[in-house]
Amino acid sequence: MSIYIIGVFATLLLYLIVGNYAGTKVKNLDDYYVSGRSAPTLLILGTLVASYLSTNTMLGETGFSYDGYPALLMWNIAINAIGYVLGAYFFGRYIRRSQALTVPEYFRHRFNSRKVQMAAGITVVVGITAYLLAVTQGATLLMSELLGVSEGWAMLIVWAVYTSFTFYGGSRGVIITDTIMFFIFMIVLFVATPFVVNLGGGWAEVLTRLANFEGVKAGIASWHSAVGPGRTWATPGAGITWAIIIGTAWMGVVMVSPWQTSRYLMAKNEHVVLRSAFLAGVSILLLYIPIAIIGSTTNLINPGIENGEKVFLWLAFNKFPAWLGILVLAGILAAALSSASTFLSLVGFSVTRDIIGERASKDEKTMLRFSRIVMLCCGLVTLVICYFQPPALFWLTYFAGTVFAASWGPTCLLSIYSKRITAEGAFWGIIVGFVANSATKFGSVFLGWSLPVWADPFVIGLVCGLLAILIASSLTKVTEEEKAYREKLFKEIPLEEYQDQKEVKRTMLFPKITIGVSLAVILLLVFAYALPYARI
Amino acid sequence: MGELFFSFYYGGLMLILGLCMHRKLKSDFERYSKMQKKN
Repeated sequence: MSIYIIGVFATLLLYLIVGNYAGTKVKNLDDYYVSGRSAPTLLILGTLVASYLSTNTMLGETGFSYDGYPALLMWNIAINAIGYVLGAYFFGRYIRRSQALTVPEYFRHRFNSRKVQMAAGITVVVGITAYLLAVTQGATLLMSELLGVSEGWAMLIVWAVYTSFTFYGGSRGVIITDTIMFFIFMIVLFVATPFVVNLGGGWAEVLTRLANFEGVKAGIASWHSAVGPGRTWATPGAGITWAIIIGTAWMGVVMVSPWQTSRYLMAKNEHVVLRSAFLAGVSILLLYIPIAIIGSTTNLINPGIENGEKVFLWLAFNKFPAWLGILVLAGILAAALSSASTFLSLVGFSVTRDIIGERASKDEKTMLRFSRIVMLCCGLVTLVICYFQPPALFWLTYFAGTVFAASWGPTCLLSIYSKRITAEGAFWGIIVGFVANSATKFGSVFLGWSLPVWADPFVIGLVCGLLAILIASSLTKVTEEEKAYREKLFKEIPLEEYQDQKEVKRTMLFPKITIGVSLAVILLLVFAYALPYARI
Repeated sequence: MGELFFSFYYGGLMLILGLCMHRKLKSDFERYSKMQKKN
């Protein structure tokens, strides 16, 4: 058995032990669904970032940089990252005040409508199951390559690990393992970068060689990446327009998607919501610098890797020392498992609370047992679909990635900031946004629809969803219950949480940290990249 | 020139947001403090 296999199995064992230990602490529904609403900043930060990053980040986005587009990736991420702070301030604090167990349950309280909860619950089950399939298949391919076993066996191992602690530990198990995984891939990225830069001959050499790179990837280190005739984007304008649209879509994802906002339901108080969001935004901003450097620099070490998504795997097996190779493999697997466990928990919670809902038992212990059984069944269904459906990472991720920004985005924000949105408006906004986004994606992938850059499926879904809200809300009236609930969200500020001036002062440190880190990032890029690049 | 603009853009959006949020949170917390005293 190779040292890589032993290393990876050791980390899997760690997740199993920690996740299942957390499960022993689950005593009631609050513990299972929202980790007892007692999670501190570190755990919310860990789960926010870990559930956001998946194999797509470690493999796909490093490959995107290797293929010649590191700057386009960063044009996108700069917008994406600010979504954390905006989402927490403008939406996250309010859903935490609702004391709901799931985000669709918040919709039910806000609009006094079981129909809206059901619609949101069904979109969670469909959209998140698609994403869950993609991350399970990604981890399966990695595990199969690593162990040299059939994909069936690899799938079973991956599935068994994340399902066991998710079904038993619920959110409590998920957020603790997510945080461990968050630290693993932070360490991986920041340790691997100097190694890769050294392999390329040092930073000055790397920058000079990338600036003079010839062939189809000429311009790889420039502000607009390697765009040009015959490339995915013919001009810098087209590439940057695409990056800004995708960045805005993903900003919407981190602001309102269930796998991000549901984390705030677990926060100990509103200070934790705000603090974790500042740190998550800063973490994403920092994490993508090594991803862009590693992906583009690998061109100098081996320009002939056919599939850019295998850059990290190639480095782990061929160039890194064994300990770093193990760390990289563990990091990639962690990125997949952390997303998979969060997604499975969301699907299970939504089936139990939002779709079956009141038909389930009222008794807390019976309900907890029932929730676990439903979670296990959801896991089994995922396993069966994954086994019989051929790997389709690209289109599953493409389908599920931004669907919630288009489908839920307008409803989430208007549910807080609009006096006119009605339950019918919310219902049709969710449904029309979801269908328009999915249909446009289906058309562009399978029917060969050629859409202009600005008509991204996200934009189409968002506009259609907004129109649906406007039309349906204008045809119906806001009820007294809806009005009262919205006012309650603004009036019932948890003042007791803001009594302690020490806590308030500590929270005020976090925007300062954000300002400091952003300044450091600017200085780093100006002095280590822009000015030396101009002199080449 | 493009690289310089890009460098300011990448960290700049978060920097501006940090500055705005610092102001916004400060005024929010002062408001909460007044509300507490009233209560």
